[in-house]
Formats: sequence, structure tokens, C-alpha cells
Amino acid sequence: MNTVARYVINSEHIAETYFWSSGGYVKEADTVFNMKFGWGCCGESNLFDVKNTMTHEFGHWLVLGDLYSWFWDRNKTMYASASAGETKKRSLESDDINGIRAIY
Amino acid sequence: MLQEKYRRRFPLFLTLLVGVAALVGGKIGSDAQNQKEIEEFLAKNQPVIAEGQDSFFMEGLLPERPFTTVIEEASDVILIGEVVKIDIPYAKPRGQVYHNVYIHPEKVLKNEGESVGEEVIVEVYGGELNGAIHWTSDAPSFSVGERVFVFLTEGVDAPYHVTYGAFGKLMIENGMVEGINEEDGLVNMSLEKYQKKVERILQK
Repeated sequence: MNTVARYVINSEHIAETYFWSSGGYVKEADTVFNMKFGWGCCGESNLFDVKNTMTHEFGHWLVLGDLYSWFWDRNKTMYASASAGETKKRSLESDDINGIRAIY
Repeated sequence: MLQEKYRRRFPLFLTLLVGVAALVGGKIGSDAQNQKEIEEFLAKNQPVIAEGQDSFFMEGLLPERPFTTVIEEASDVILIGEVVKIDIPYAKPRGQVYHNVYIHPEKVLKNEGESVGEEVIVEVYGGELNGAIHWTSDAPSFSVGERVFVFLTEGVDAPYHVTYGAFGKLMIENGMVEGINEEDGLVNMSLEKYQKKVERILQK
């Protein structure tokens, strides 16, 4: 069963997604929101946006990886960092969509 | 008269244009190179998973780009030390698997006032437990006898974890440090130079 939970993790990650793979298949994907950080719904500048973060994590559920280039990837949903107040990951960029289409 | 004025200004304009283009081009090139180096470095963390073996892979989202200044600010302790012991992996109540790494500090650069103990226990994500491999490319990897430069943050239910995961641990070998960060991509510089860089950040 796939789950979304919230609790404190000893990590700087604002959220983590865990995949269980077995026999070449992803059996389960679970996401945890790290409650070391403050969470908001509406792009508040001092809080991390739930929808922004969950859209990125859903990308991982679909087995997309993180992107690291600030210059090329910073506006894409799968860019590897998200600041407080950020909401731009809520909407997919063409590369995010093409990535999913390429896999499925 | 007017044409002469433009003729004289044109080389200056052209020089400026070329300069800006070179600067932007250099920035793009360096960013792409850093990204490649970071991805190659993290890819080395992928364990060998046997066919049919269960694996649990973790992906994490960082709150900021992992510049050394950001990692320093998020850390409670920065030290140079030697890995003296690595415990077998264990599962936490919620199922995630970790292992503890014991580091004997040689020099403490941050939080010198507080005793960090003879051995610092650092909790690291991942390990093999009950036949399944738990791993993430974002976690630092350690080996016994290795000398390390680490940024550590106090945990809620564990003594410390490595600040910003793989970005917060550098290996020291033959007087050189090797690791990754946002500004350099692959860090490969003398320990002396890197230590001075961190000390400059600490002084700010």
C-alpha cells in the first residue's frame, strides 16, 4: 500500500520517498514529509508548500530521478531542491512530462 | 563626425558584448560540468543488487542548493577525524534502515567549546537487513580507517547525522580532500586549502 506520512526525520531533506522494488518491479512507494520543517498550503514565504513538494515526490513515484543543474533545470518539477514559499513545482515543465512519457 | 563617434564606440560595445557572452557561456559550462560531476559522484553510491533481491531506494528533496555556506549554516559540528567503527544496520520503528558510524575526532572546527566526545556517533541511512538492501545515492559512504572532513547536525533521536548527506562528507587522502558541493561540483583540493575555505566561512 502506498502511503504519505509526516514525522520528524534526522535529515535535511524536507521530504523523502521510499521505493520497494522486488523482481524488477516497484511494489510500493511511500512519502514522508519531514516535520523538522514548517508546512503550508498556499506558498507562504516561511513555509514549505505541500502541493509543490508532493508534485515532486509523485514524480519519484513514477520513477523520475532528481535534476541538479540550476541553470537548466531550476524551474522543473524534478529539480533537486525546493525553497520555502516555492510553488513552481506544482506545474509540470515540458521535460517533466516528456520524462514520464519516455518511461511509460 | 557622428559616424566617427560610433566607430570609436563600436569596439567598446563589441568587447563588452563578447565579455558578457563569455561570462554567460562560462557560467553555463561550469554549471553543466558541476552537475555532471555531482551525478557521477552520487552514482558511485549505487550498491550491487542481486537479481530477485528486494531493495528499498530513497530519494530526498533538499530545502536549499548545497553550497558549503549552506551546509555550514545547517551544521552543529564540523570536524576532521578517522572512522574507527561501523555498526551493522538496524531498522527504526517506522521501517527505515540505518547504520551507525563512529568517528574519532582529530580536530573540531565548529562547536569547539562543547565536548563532542572521544567518538562521535553518526547515523547514516541505508544498509542490508533481512536480505533486503536499503539505499540512497544521497547518503555519504564511510569505511573503517578512512580520514574524513564532516559537517554534522544533531538529530532528534540520534546523536548526529551528516549535514546534507553526501554533500557534507569529504574523504581525506594523501593531504587532499574529495567530495562534492554546489559551487565546485567535484571537490578535489588540498586539505589545507579546503580547511581555510571552511574557516573563512565560519568567521563570517
